[in-house]
Amino acid sequence: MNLEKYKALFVDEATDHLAEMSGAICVLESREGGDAASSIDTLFRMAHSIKGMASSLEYESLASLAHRLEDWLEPLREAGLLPDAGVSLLYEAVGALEAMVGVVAETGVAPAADEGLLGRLAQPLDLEAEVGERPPEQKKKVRRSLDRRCRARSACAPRRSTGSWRPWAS
Amino acid sequence: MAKRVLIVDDAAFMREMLRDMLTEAGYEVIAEAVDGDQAVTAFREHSPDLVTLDIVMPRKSGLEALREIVALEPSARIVMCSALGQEALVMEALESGATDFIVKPFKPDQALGVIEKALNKE
Repeated sequence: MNLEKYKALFVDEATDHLAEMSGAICVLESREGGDAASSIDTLFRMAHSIKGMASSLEYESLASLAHRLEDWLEPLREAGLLPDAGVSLLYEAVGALEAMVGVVAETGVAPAADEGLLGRLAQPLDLEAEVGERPPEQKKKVRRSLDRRCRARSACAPRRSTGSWRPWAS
Repeated sequence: MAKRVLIVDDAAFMREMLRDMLTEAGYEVIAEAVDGDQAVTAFREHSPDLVTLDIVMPRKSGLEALREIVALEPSARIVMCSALGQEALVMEALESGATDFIVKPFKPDQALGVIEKALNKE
């Protein structure tokens, strides 16, 4: 495998993704442009993509932070909303990823992730509290999302690393 | 004759990695697509022997594209490209007609084994 080629591709594509993520946060923060769900979906997909690329190159710290961000975003994506309390943490996470990608570009090595940030991203936002401030239709949507998430967590099989796994057969 | 593969992934990095891996193993990559819409169009156009299909993509997801391709060609060989944490989506894909799946980060031997098996599946 030509690692140098893939590293250059990773830096280029991750940099583009992070710029797109910053733009999506701006849209969410300004509450302009209307479609919060679309901006959150963009953030989720970009974090997911950075995780996949970083793990392919064994940049485990970068992959961990991107994965933690992806997990933190997932219930927000399902609910289609971002509480105000989440904006600063999003900026912090995207900024940290930008800094880490910058180090990879300069040195070829991923630095350690900020443990404090990883810990904060492990705490999901309180969407139930947010529900109280939303119109009835949106409240239903958020509650359905929270219910689905609870069911998904209890139904999930243990993680496996490669193909031919049939979850229902185990 | 080399088996013809359609690669579908929104990340250029992943497409490049898959293309290199498949080409080196003797497959012909006949087309690439960056989202579900392009995937369905490319499938209609090229009738590939196998599709590698990412799950999380813009506009039309891998699951939506999978269902459309299977509706077009029920015997299509489709290997989903998933990531850790996507077990529920993988299960849904298999129930919707995907042939098998591989998990990022790809280990070339394992990924090629899954692809070979999917192509040989009755």
